[in-house]
Amino acid sequence: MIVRFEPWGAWVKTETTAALVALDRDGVRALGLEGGDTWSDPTASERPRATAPIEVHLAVTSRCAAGCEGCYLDARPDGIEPPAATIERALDALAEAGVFTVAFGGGEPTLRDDLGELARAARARGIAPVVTTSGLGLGPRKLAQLASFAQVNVSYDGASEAYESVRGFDGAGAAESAIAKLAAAGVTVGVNVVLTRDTFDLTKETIRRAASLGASEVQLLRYKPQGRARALDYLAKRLSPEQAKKLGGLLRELAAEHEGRVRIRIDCALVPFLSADADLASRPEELARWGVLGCEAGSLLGATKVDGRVAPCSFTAPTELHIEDLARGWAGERGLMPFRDYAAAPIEPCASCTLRAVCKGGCKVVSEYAGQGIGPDPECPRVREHARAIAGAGGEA
Amino acid sequence: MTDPQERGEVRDARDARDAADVRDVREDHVRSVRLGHGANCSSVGSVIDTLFLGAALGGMVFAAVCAAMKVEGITVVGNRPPPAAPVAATDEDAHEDAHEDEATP
Repeated sequence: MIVRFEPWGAWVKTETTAALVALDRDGVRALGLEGGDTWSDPTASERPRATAPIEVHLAVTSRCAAGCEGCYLDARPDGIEPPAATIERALDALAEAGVFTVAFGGGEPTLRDDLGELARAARARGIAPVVTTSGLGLGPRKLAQLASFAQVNVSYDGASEAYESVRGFDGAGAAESAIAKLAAAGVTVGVNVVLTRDTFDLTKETIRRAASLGASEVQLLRYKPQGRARALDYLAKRLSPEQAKKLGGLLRELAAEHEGRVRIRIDCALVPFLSADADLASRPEELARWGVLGCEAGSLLGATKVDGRVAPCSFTAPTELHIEDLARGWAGERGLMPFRDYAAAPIEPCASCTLRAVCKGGCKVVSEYAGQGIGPDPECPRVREHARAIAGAGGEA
Repeated sequence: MTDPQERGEVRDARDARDAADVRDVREDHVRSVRLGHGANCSSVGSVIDTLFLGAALGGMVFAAVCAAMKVEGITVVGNRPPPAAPVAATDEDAHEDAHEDEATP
């Protein structure tokens, strides 16, 4: 297992049960360890924030030929592909900082001929490599490369029409073939399912299909207004207010149907929608205990653009920090501060929300798109209700 | 006790069974558990179905991670930056102050 000291104890990544555990100081001592400077340095105790991200999303290429309508990076066939030595220096930096997981993305990572070598380079540094792929053109050579990853997720938004409604072309067959091939090859395979207004009601069917093909995990993703998705049709594609309110119930049904067979995950941007579920909103301690993370941009999560600049998350603009300076620059990087500040001291209605400590204000990409800067997520059911109440009171906050 | 300056050292010396006897790590030491790796390259994901597990099944997961921590070899990673030279109060100090009460995992 891998241990990284934090002012409150340590993060522990276990192997036999693949998990990341937040262990308090007494627990760390029970392992026979002491936190040294991290625990005793007064500077450390005044800085309770994580010393580094636990997970970094690393863009290893900006090339992609798929042309998805909603690509958050606006990836294109003629994109940039950093040399392997550059990626390896980035991995060195992640190892130095104590990052546990690196998610290779892009662009389409499988367009790199050296993808398997890069995955092994991450493993050699004690970092778990994972990757997302469209699954398009997955032949034996790419399959062999993907076998080096701890997990591979295939972008799969549902059968033909659902897939096409999200991405603008029907790649469902290729994605389904990729899921089946990866599972048959013994690779741990999951699917990324983007929830839009058109696909939300098909989610159960989509997951059944993915499970039947061998997917062991499903990650539900909120459609976000960035890249090519930062267009007016975002407003038509995003979940309706009614759908957002139904998310908690949908998760409950999915968990019951797939218990023990398919793990269900949600992304950070979907967490605010849980505020509409009375049961889930009433037990924030349990969400925290099960490691549910809302907006951790610039805190437990970091992203690296294809040019090596670090961003709070994959959807946000880069800061001046370069990935090779991660260990030294993460804590003090000014470009990350606005994200951290809002999470630490949000305004209403986030301030009084039971899920505040988990959700951390919802997706800042959406609030910025709505012209509200870094603030409450305007699509959160609780925020919508708050806005209606203010409007009903004559606009007084 | 291991000096944290020895970061990166792999401590596999003890026999796993002996280690289990020595490491009295318990479920009440665990603040949170995030299961699995996930593999999304754009946003951080969290396992959600565990929220709907019965208490017994949830307890089994916590017991399993505690059992793992009792026997697995240990590698300590991560470096902290050197303490900064004292400087006059800045906006950055205000940022840090704002985070003092922030919930930890």
